Amino acid sequence: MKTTSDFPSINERTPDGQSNGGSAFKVLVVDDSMFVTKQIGQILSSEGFNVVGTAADGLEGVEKYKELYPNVDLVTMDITMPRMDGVSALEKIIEFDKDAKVVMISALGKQDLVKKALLIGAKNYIIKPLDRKKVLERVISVLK
Amino acid sequence: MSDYLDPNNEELLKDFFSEAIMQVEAMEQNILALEDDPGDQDAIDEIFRAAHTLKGGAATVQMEELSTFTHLLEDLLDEIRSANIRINEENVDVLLSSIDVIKAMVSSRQSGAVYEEDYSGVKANLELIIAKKESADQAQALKPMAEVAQPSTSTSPTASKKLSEYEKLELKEAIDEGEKILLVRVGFDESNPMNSVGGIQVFAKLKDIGQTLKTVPDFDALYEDQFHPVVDYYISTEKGIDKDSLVGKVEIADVTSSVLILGLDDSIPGVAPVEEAQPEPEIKPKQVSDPASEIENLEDVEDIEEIAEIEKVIPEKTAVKTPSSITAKRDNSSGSILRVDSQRIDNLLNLVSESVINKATFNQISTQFNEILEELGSAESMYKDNLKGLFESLPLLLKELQDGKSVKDIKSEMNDEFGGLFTVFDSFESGLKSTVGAFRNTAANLGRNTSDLHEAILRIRMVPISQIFSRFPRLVRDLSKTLDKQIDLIIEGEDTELDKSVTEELLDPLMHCVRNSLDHGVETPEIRLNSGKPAQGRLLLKASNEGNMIVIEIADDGAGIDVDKVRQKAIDKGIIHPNKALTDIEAFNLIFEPGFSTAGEVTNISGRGVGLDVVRKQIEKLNGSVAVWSKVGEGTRFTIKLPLTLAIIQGLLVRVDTEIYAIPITSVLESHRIKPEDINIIDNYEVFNVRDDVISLLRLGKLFRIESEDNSDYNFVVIVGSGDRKMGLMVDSLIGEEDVVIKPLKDRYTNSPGIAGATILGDGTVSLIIDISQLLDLSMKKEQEARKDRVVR
Repeated sequence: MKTTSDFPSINERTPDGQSNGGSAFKVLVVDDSMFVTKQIGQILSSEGFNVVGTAADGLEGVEKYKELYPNVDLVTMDITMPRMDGVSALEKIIEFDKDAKVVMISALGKQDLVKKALLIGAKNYIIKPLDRKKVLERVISVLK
Repeated sequence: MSDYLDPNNEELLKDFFSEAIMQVEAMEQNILALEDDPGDQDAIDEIFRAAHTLKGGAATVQMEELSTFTHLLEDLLDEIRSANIRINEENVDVLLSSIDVIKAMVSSRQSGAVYEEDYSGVKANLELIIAKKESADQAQALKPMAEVAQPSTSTSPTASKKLSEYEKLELKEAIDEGEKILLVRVGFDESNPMNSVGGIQVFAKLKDIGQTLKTVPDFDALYEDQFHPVVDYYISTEKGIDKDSLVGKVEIADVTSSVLILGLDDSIPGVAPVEEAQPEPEIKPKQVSDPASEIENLEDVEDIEEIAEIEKVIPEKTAVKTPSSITAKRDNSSGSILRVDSQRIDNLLNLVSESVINKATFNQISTQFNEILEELGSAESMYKDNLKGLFESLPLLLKELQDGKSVKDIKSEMNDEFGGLFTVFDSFESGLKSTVGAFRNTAANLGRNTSDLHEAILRIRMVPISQIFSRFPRLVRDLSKTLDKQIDLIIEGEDTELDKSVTEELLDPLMHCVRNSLDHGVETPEIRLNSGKPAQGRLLLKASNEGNMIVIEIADDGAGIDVDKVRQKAIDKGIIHPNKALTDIEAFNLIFEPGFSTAGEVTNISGRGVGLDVVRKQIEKLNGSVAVWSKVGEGTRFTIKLPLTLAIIQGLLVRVDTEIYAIPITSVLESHRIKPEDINIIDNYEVFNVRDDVISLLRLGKLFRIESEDNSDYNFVVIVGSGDRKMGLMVDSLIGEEDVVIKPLKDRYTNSPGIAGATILGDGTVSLIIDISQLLDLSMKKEQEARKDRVVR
């Protein structure tokens, strides 16, 4: 019989010997930059997360969340986006589902918005440029 | 940087560049919108968002220079957004010049290099604007200008400050029965890039544990963009809760460096005992700001202002210089990315599935043909058997006839036995007929399907012309400033679509025409007012569809072109024969001849004599044509006509000896059948008369060195060209019109003049496509040489 140790390649990819944290967790990625969306998608799906939806702005993100609910475990939310920014979108999502797990994505310089988001109920934040290890660490810590 | 997001990852880079270019364009457009309406909050937000996204992307692909620069720009934008800095023309200039720097940075990175030009001038200007605002506001003079995120020298109040007895009492009053107050002392990791967020993050996290009654420093200070190495949180929780179990709940990876939980009245140990007994480096507050450092800071502000003053002259130069370096470095062929409406792809998919069905039908037909072939075989052998029997029975029947049997009997006997011969092939024939019918239908379907597919694929490559039109507001603005003219740019039909590859090649000629109109066409406000026109000139940029051509118009209401001047100049320069009668239209189009410029003085913008001929060359390369119309005092209009796509053209197939050539139909004017005696010789070259016109002839066979047995009674002449340039190509015969798919030739073949590419005909033979504009140049040159020869003689 095969055990997971027969597949070292999978374990090698997991940083810091963490267990394969992503298995089947469903993630919604909200970001106006296709580039960032792709990156997050690559990072998460390589760890077994399931990116179930993407949205290009806050408005779309909120709609997607409602549409997917309850089949969504985590949202990554960009802070600056057209139409509706990430903080307002976060507010709407928390209004709809107070236990929503939202991780903000922000570049440096947006500290005030990150603080606002954390106070509204964002579970954590990730700094752009994205770092694979940090992304996974934070996402997994929120899901725990 | 992580191992996973390789900054050299080709695909990511490609995505980054295409996105970066979009962001830069969005910024530019909105800056211009902002200039028109400084209160346009949407535009500011949009610029800010674009700059922000650009910064994030730049940092990811490790373009430090771009991310630092964008950061500075963002600071300025932030001030504009919060209405601390008002938008004026000067600021817009600085913003635009910094967009140029960003463009140059992106494009040099795109070609694999790091941007090395000096942009300190632009940078200083940005800083100057920010500094101006800061110095105006003395209270905020200490705020560092560029690095907002950087912790300032002023620090948090002493976190380890003990609460007074009164404050403690206050806290105790606030809690309910069954609750106790805990002091959560958290040390923060300064190396975290967003170290100023931690205080709030812990605050948010503590909500799960209990109510936070008080923080030191207080909440407002935490909300400021400032790093506090240690923060005390006083929270109320249930009495029973275990202090040590809370530590894990408060800790946040990368954010907190130590967490200490005490009762309200516990004494605070000198060194915080952390779980891993890790010493707490940041427990002591940083040096409190003193007057000396404040003075230093003030001086810094002044210093920068001074630098900015000195370098104020530079930015204009760099701003002018950068665009040229961009065009020089731009590599059009690599990494062009197309964004396609998904509906168009769906449509294509539909057509492809139809063609799959088509293929299945053909397979079926092929099986049917096989069956028919078998049937033919069996019918044939039956026929042969019968025939053999007939031959064998003939002697017997003859004998029977001799023996006295009546002819009638024998006839009926033969009918009985061999009558089947007539119908042996009937079923084969009907089978064949129905299968051929099915084949024809399916082939017709395939034809329809293929042309639909063709159209669908072309539509995928179609992009709205706004992609290039959008660059003109900026260009016109800059030019009109340089030229001191007032110009109102009107853009129409920007939704008109054309092939992506055409778009890319079209920008430069369009720019050229616009520059030309602005420089030579539109007059200065004084002259305009004197001649009774409004001071503001008008420039129209318009695109529209005409059949399967796209028509682009560049029209101004300026001074117009003086026909006689043009005509005289063309004669002076030897471009036309002095005796040649020219219509006005033909004369206007002389301005596209090489070496032609009517501008008296050479300006920076146009008029170096290498001008409109390049435009024509470029447009003709795209199989298009350009014409000009003008009226003195009323204005000038350039009209560019282009085919919608470059991939497939309509070609006229002609034959020279055994070779078949394709001539792009867009440049074919007419064709004639002529007798050898219709050809005259003037100035050493062959010509022939069409109506009132004299057309010079070029024998394709001679040009391509094909030995043609020229013994037919007739020759065919295809007249090609546009506007005033016409010539006749002499060929052996015309074959017909056909859609021709252009296949580029490898470099060493394209060197031969007059060949634009190759195509594969229906029967598999290769045919060369003629490059008309090159041939026209060639014949023009020959014509001029021949004329010179005659003059010398």
